[in-house]
This record gives sequence, structure tokens and C-alpha cells, in this order.
Amino acid sequence: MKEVFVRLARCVGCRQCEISCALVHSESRDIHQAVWERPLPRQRVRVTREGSEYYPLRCFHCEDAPCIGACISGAMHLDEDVGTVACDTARCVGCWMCVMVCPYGSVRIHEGQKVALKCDRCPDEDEPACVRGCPTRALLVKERALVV
Amino acid sequence: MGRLEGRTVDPAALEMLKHADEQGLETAWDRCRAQEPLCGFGNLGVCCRICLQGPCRIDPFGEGATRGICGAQDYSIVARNLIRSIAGGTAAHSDHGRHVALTLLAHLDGHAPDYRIADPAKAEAVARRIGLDPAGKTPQEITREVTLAALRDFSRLEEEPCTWVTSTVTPGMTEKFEECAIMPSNINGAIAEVMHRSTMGVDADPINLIFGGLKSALADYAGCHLSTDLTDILFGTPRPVRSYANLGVIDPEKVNITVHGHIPLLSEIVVDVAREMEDEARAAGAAGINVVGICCTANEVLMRKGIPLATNFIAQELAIMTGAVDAIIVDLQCIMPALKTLCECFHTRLITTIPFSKIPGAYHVDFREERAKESARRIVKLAIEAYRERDPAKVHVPQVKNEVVAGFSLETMLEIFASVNQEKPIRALVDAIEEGEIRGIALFAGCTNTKARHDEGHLTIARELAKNDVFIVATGCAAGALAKAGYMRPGAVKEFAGPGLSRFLERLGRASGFDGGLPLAFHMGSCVDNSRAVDLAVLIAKEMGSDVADIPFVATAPEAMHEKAVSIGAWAVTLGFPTHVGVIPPVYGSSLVTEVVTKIAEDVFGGYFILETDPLKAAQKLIEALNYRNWRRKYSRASLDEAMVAE
Amino acid sequence: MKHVIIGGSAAGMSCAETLRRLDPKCDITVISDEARPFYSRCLTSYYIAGKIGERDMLLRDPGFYEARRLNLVMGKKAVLVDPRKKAVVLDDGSEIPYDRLLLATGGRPKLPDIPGAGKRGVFTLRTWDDAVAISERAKTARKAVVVGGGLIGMKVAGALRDAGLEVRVVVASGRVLSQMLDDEAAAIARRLLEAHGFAVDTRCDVVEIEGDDEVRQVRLQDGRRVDADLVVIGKGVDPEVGLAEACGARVGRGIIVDEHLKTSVPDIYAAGDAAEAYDIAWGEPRVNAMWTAATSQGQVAAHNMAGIPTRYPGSVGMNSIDICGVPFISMGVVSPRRDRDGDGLVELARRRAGNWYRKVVLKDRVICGAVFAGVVDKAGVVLALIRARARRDDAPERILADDFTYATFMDVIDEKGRYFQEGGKRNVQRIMQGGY
Repeated sequence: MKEVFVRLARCVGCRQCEISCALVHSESRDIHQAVWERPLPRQRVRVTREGSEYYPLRCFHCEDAPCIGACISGAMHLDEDVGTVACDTARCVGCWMCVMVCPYGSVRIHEGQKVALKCDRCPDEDEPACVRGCPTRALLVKERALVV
Repeated sequence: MGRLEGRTVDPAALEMLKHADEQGLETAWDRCRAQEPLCGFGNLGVCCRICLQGPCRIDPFGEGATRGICGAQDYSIVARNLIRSIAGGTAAHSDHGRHVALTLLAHLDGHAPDYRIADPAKAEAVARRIGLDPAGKTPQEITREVTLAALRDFSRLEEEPCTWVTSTVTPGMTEKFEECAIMPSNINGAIAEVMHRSTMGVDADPINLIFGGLKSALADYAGCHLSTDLTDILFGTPRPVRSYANLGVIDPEKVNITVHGHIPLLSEIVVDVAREMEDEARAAGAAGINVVGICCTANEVLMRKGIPLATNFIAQELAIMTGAVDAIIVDLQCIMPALKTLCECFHTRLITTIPFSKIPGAYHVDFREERAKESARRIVKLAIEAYRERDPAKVHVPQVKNEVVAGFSLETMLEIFASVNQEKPIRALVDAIEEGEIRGIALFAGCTNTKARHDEGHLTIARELAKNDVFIVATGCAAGALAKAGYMRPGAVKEFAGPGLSRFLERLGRASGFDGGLPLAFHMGSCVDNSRAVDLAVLIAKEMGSDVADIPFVATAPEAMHEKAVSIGAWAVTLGFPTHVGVIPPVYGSSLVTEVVTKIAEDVFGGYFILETDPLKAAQKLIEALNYRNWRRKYSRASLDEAMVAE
Repeated sequence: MKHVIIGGSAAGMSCAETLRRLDPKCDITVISDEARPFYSRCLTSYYIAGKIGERDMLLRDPGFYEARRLNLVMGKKAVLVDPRKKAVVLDDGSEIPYDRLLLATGGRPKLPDIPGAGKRGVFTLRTWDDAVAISERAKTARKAVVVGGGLIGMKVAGALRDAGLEVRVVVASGRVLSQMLDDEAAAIARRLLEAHGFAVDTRCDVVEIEGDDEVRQVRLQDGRRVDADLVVIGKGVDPEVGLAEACGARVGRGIIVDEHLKTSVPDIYAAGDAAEAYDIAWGEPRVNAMWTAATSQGQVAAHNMAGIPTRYPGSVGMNSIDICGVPFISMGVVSPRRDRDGDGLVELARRRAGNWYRKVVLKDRVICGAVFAGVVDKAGVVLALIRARARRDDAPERILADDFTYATFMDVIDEKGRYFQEGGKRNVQRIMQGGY
């Protein structure tokens, strides 16, 4: 199963992954049009800095995901085909239990739609947008088995 | 569409791209891919690197920072970046002009014997226009006065307007610029002011900033115009010439010297010297010397000397890849540093010539006006020397070239118009507009850019406009695109022009006895020569009793790339042209600035930006802009007549 | 191996599903006194509000149980557990034998002794059937009184307001959500409620429900009479410990379990709202009646029942609620009292404009509780810190300044956050530090 890995030493904090993520989740997928969309497209990855290092934080798609266990509506679920933790926003009631339990802070509130917002690992793309968007290849996709 | 087909519509460029692909040679298109995805912040103009606290970025999606460390909002940041870009363009154009002026002055002082006053009549005409009395003065004296006046536009300390602005636009436009406090008095000062007001902690008001940018843009316009004027005096005002364009002009049998850049001070001399050194080339086994051009240096020597145009900006590397270019002489602007690495794969000598425009590893022959011919000879010698090292196995020249009729300075065009209206030549064009025979005029300008499919925007829009009876003039790399594709040969009129335009051009061609007929698109010169198009527009406006903002005259830069394109675009809008740009400039990060440049500008200046990446849609919008102005002119005149009848 | 589970909600179903995953061959029987398939108890208020329909209540597709070969015994009540015979007796007299038994009996709403509480139009809210009855009544009712300002009370109050009723909340204590929030956060919640048209009475109680057959009005402690045609009593939930007590299991507030979620009776386990398991924040056993604890306890119990010894790391009492569009989350020790909770407890709080409020509670310089209002993103990171029980002296300041992410505390979260042992290790590997 493929997973997204981070090579921290390569992250320069350019936040291109954020922009790429928002773009791939926009209607137009074009930066010059996306900034005019309402509601504005949201990104699911956040680059933060600790000391001298940058951390592109996104959902880890835990095997034992606490957000799934905490979800009261059944929206948060394991997509067994691709091994991702997915949120069916149509079922989400906005109780924020997932926000409460995610130890990575990777589930946020979609303020406009009042549903949980998290990485979907770009199911319709060959490669997640953040990976494709990373100019230093700090984010990369690899087979899980190769790294563990 | 294949990967390479998606990069260009120019068959010669495509052939070379395939060749490059096979040979593993890197091009700008490959490097463009390596740059993807482009930085979203930079792309939207919301990255501020002006002070050392940052770099600051505004989150375009509204979740992160909404202001810079200093508190600057998106609109201040976008506006500051934009006007710095305008200042960059202004610096480039005006410094180019200043260089020509200094060369003229050196010649007049006897330090540049290899030059001459090639067009005393132009000197006289410019002198009259700027209010000098040429009576009883020698051409040298007139030229000196004109040149010093031009240099005063760079150095004036009084708050008086730049001569090259006030003397070239309508009184109404001058008044508007004064009223908006954007009239420059000193080109260098306008640039400095932009740099100052956009530095940390000065101007944060986006409208104020943009007006500062427009002042610089008008300074750019002055720089362009005086550059055209002085270059015409120095090397002659272009007259109709016939030549060829596209990579097929590179002759494998000859020593090929490519001139590239913008300022023809040395290239003109190289052309002359090459003709004198044919024997040396033959001695080296070549059939002779063939000088070809790239970018605006190409346009300059094509317009005045009929030197063939090899290709335009983005394809510059492809010329080297033919393996038959023995030397490429570059001056300044739009020269890719990548040429050096590429030349290393061949025998080609890359020769820089300007002290402040060098490339590591290239030959540098310092251009000095006092020994121009000597420098030119050294360069031609280097080329012949290189020819001996040429590897015939690496030669690959696409057999693609098109006939070009060029040399359409305003003077030339008025001569042609005079064939139908001796008394008032410009009436020929104005009548055609007023009678609806032609819909209006479009200026094709600007660069080529990897963001667009090479030349596609230029050609598509030209076809659409021609079909809709729009009279086309072109400059710079846009002109290069049209030339390469054959839109500047007479036959193109039959192929693309709508009925009205076709009738108009055929009538003009017949009346003027223009050999073989007129081209579809009129080549007016290099990018500084956009000033010629403004002269045409101002002439029309004056004839129609209005300002440029009222006449059906649009501009388009479908593949803009350089800061110079930003400054030209800015002054085009300020002068009143609806101006299409086919590459989104970094302004979308601020809705306010975008609104200002695309909408509000029209209320103030009549001109505005049309930002549209789809060439077909862009053509439609340009046609709508022309239609609107025609309608408005007719409507206001009709209502005026009615009112008078009522009285 | 025969596994029997009493209770078909979060703890029971997560146990059943986990058992099936661990052991494809075993027998699994789930006994539920409700006649409905696995649904979300927490969604009942959304159902009343009309925000979701019948289908949304169901958490599994119809084919799910069959595909996992789960024997569902629905609408029947287990009345007795016989640990010697190792069998469960149902209310119809039938017996179901077990090798391992899970008591996931859940809780039962507290019913205070209010005169008139038996009248039509007076409800408690625990089950889907309760929700159906309330929403049916809400179609014609205009004025509702909610007795109790706890989580259930607040959720049902919001739901009734969304359904178009006038709503009065009567709270015995001095603030709403007294278990979940501290004074400051509760004040924010109350201001929001009042701004959105709720009537809120604190330090007050309903002393009588009046009317003939049907509720007409309620009499308050202070003597006021308030019109009401719908009353919901939400005074909390008692763990359902009857079966456990009867079979001799040790019972405190709930069914007492060890770190493997075993009761004091061999082969009987307990999980969910009925179980009194270890609480990390308090450092002692507590009943934490919440969906997320029930789910994970069900999973841990399943491992132990399947013969895979697995330690339950403990839960942290926590909850999340949205009040008038503003999210509130609290976890662990929320409003400590020195007299009750001992020394060494420190509260640090910060209030910002709008509804932004945040507090951390420290015991012996280790974070053991937190409250979030307004902005709750990253609350989970703080929860992970509480779970890790690690001392990071910069943590309170960084949390209150909202200047932290997972990366700030990743060393302690991943090293000591045992809850995600497996996933945690892997996640650290997913961030390949220093790797090129």
C-alpha cells in the first residue's frame, strides 16, 4: 500500500503543498481562478515550524485511527481499498469529536460547510497534490513495506 | 496533442524540439517543467521580499497570514511588486534609449567615427516636433540639440514634464496625466521614485502606488519613443524591405552569425563589416557570411537592413541547436544565460558585448563606440574561426522559412496612405474606420512565454482579428511570431483578411504600387518601436478630434514575459488602449488591484487590461472592445447631430 | 469459542467487529434490548432537530452483520448472567451459553423524583425510540423545558430550538455544562444561548410538572410557573450495573474492570458506559460515558477475549459540543477543587476577543486537563499530551498562545503516547527525520 512520507531535512517551508492541496480541492484547479471561488478552496496540509525545522503536517491515515472510533455519525471511515481514513462529509454532523481526538491536529473544521476537513490523499489523482507540488521532493509517495 | 506539439505551433521550432529531445538537449520548456508547480504566492503577487523581516506571504485562501509583518495588506504587496516590475521595464527601455543617445553624442564629438547621421530628415522632424527651430542649422547641430533634449528627459531637475511625453500625445492626454499627477519630469527620477515609494514603510495605498507605477510607465514610454527617434537618426528610418523569417534562414553553407538582444549599436556595424569580410569566410571554406537575428536586435536589423529573422525569444536556444550557428552576438535584454551551456555542446561562440551584460564563460568583446568596426571585425573573425570547427554531423536546420515584408515605420505607412489621400494621408485609415470598412486597429506586441503554447496566441488572435477586418500592426517578438508564420507576406491577406480589410489593403497596395501587395500584418519594429504604433494612434485620434481613449485601437501581448512588457502594458492602458495580456500577471492575489487594472483604469484613462489566457476568447474580447468604441463614437456623434438639429 | 456480548451500541459492536477481525471462526452473539440495528446514540439530538433522517442514524449497511456472521438477538433483554453455567438468560426464558462474555450494558437516564414526571409530553433521551417520541411531540409542541444543563440537556435543547420550539433550560447548578466546562467557558456558552433566544435558569430546578394527562406547565423552585408542552429531563446517566451486581461482579459507580477490562468474575469483561475503567487524567478508575471510550474499550476487550492480552491504557473524560455554531471541547480535569482534588493542581487560562477561550490544568506540572472554546483545532494534540503524561514545561504557554502543533510535542506524544503504540511508531517513521 502506498503512503506519503516526509523527508524533514528537505522541507524549506515554501508552503507550496498547501497551495497545491487547496487547488486540487478547488472547482477550477487553476490558481488564477481558484482565488476568486466562494467559498474559497481549503487546504488539508499545514506547514509549521519548530525551531529550525519545517513540518508539513497532514493526516497520517493511521491504521488504528482514533477519529474513526470517535466519530458518532459514521462519516469518518477506513477506505479499505486504498488504505485511507476518509470522511464522508455528507454524513458528517459537525460534532468535532474527530478534532478532539486526532493527536496530529490533522482534522480541522471546514468553517464554511461546518464539516470535518481532512486529507483525502487525493483519490482521483495519480499522486497526492502535496507530493506533486513539493518542489524539493520533501514529500514523497512510497510503498509502506519499503520503509517500515 | 503530443508533449512537444503542446509546446509550439511553429513547425520549425517543433522540428528543433524533437531534435533536442532526441539529442538530449535541454530547452526552456524542459526547465519550465522543472519549475512546476510554480510558487502559488509568487504567481499571485502576494510574496513580499522588500525588507529583511520577511519574506512575507499572504495566504491567498484566507486561512493563514492576511497581512505582512509590517501590516501590509495583500493590495499593498501586490501593488508594490507590480510597480517595481514597471520600474524594471522602464529602466530597461530607457537605458537602451540613453545608450543610443550617448553613442550619437560621441559621434557628434568625433569619438565614434564608424557611425554617421543616417537620417538628417528625421532629426529635423523630431526637432520640429519637440519645439526646436532647425532653420539654418547643420544636420549635426540639429542632431546634437535633439540628443541633448533627449538626455534632459533623464536628468531634468525642474518639475517640468518629459519632452518625449508632451510632444507625442494629444493635449487632452497631457492634461489628464498632469491632472492625475503621473506626468514624469525625469525618467530616472520616476524609476527612483517607484523604488523609493515601494520600499519598506513608505507608500501602502494601492491606488497611490499604482499611479506611481503609471508615472514610471510614462517614463518608459518616453524612453521607448526617444530610443526609436534617435535610432532612426543614427541608422535610418525603416523603409520597406523584403526578407525571410524562421530557422530556415540559417544557411549551412555559410558562416552564420546570429545577432541577439535589443540594442543594434554593434549589430548594425557587424552587418556592414560582415559584408566586407566575405572573402575571409570563403577562404575558410564557407560560401559567405550570413547574418541572422533573434529578438528585437533581429527586428532592428530586419527593419533597416533586411537581415533575416531566425526566431523569437523563447526559441532562441533552438537556433543554436541547428549546429550551424558559428557565433551568437548578444547585447542586452531577453538573453537566456542557458545559451552558454548550450553553446558548449556545439562549436558556437557566445559573445557578450555590453559591459553590464555578461554571461560566465562567454567571450566578451567590449563594445566601444570609438572603435565599433574593430569590435565588429573581431566578432566576425571569431565566427569564421568557429566555422572551421563546425561539426557537419551536428548540423540540423529545419527547412522552414517565410517571406517577410517589413520596414513599416510610421513614415513609410504615411507614404502608403498618401497614395490614396495626398493631402491628409492618415485620412486613408480614418475613412476606412469611419466607413466601417475596417473595424479598427490592433497592435500585437510583447514576448513569447513558456506559459503559453509558443506563437499560438499571436497567430490565433491575428487570424481572428484579420477575419473581423482589424488592421494589424506588430512589434517585438509578436512581430517575430507573425513573420515566421507568413502573416507578413502579401499572400496572407487573401488567406486571412475579412472582406473589408482585404478591400482596404488591396486598394492601398494598388494605389501605392507596393510591389507584390501589402502584408496582412505591418511590422513596425522592435519593442521600443511600440512608440511608432502610439504615433499612429495619436495621429488617428487627432484626426478624429479625440484622444486615443476614444478610437478603436487595441493592443495585445498574448505571450507577455518581460518586465518591459509590464511597463509597456501599463503605459498602453494609461494612453487609452484596451490592452490584452495572455499571461496572468502576478496581481490576482489582490482583488482590489485586479479590479483597478481591469476595470477602474477605464474610468480614469479609457484604457484597461484584458487578462485572458484563451486566445479565442481574447480575440472576442478585443473585437468587443473595438465594437464598443465604434458604437460609442457613432452614438455620441449621432446624438450630437440630433441635438444640433433640435436647436 | 463462543463470545456473547450484552449491548449492541458502541462498545458492544466495536467488540463484535474486532473479535471477527481477530478470529474469523468464533461464534459471536450480540444481545440488545433495543429492536433496532446498530445506530448512533449520539445522533439522537440531530434526529430530533431534523438534520438527519432514519438512514443516517444507522451506522452499518444492512448486509454488514451477515457478512461478519454476527448473531444478533434484538429486542430481548438479558435478565440474568449465570457465571457457573456460563450462560445468559433472556427475558423470554431462553439461555445463551458463552465462553467469554462482555457486559456492554450502557447506562440509564437518571430520573429525579419530580411530581408529574409521568405525564404525557415528558421524556428522557437515551434511545432512538426516545428520539422518535420527542420529535413526534415536537411537531405540535411550541414551548419546551429542558431539565438539566448537561451535555444531553444542551444537545436536546439545541435540537428543539432547531425544530422551531421556544426552549427554556433549567439547570440546578450555577452554570450550564457544569461537568464539561469551567465557569468561564460556561459563561461564554450561556451568553451564546441567551443571544440565540434560549431562556436559561441556573441554580434552579423544576419542582413539579403540572397539567392533566399532558404537561401544561412546570413549576420552578423559585415559584415561577412556566408554560410548557414538552419537557425533556436530562439529569445524567447511571451506569447499568444490575446484571453485573447480580452475578457477583465488583461494582463501584460502574462495573469495575482491571487493565484488561476484565471484571472480578472470570471470563466476564465490561466496556462502555457501564464500565469503570482507568482514567489517565485523574489517575484513578472512573466511568467515562462517551462514544470514543466505548469504541476503544470494545476493541481492547475483544483482544483480551480473543486471547490476545492487551492492556487498556485508560481513557480521558472529554467531550465536544457545538453551541450556536461555536465549538467547545474539554478533556480531563476541567475545574479542579483543591479541597476535593488535592494540592499541586494549577489552572492557566486565557481569554481572547470573541468566543475564544482556552485553559490548561496541570497536576504536578503535567497537563491533566484542558478546555477549548471558539477555536478547537489541534485540541487532539493536547489530548495526546494528556495521554502521554509527559512533562513539557513550555506546553501550557505554547497551548495558550495557540503557538503549537503536533510537531511541537511530537517527541513526547510519539514516545509516550501509548494509545497509538503501533500507529504511533509507524507515524514517526512516516516522518523520516534527516533522511534524504
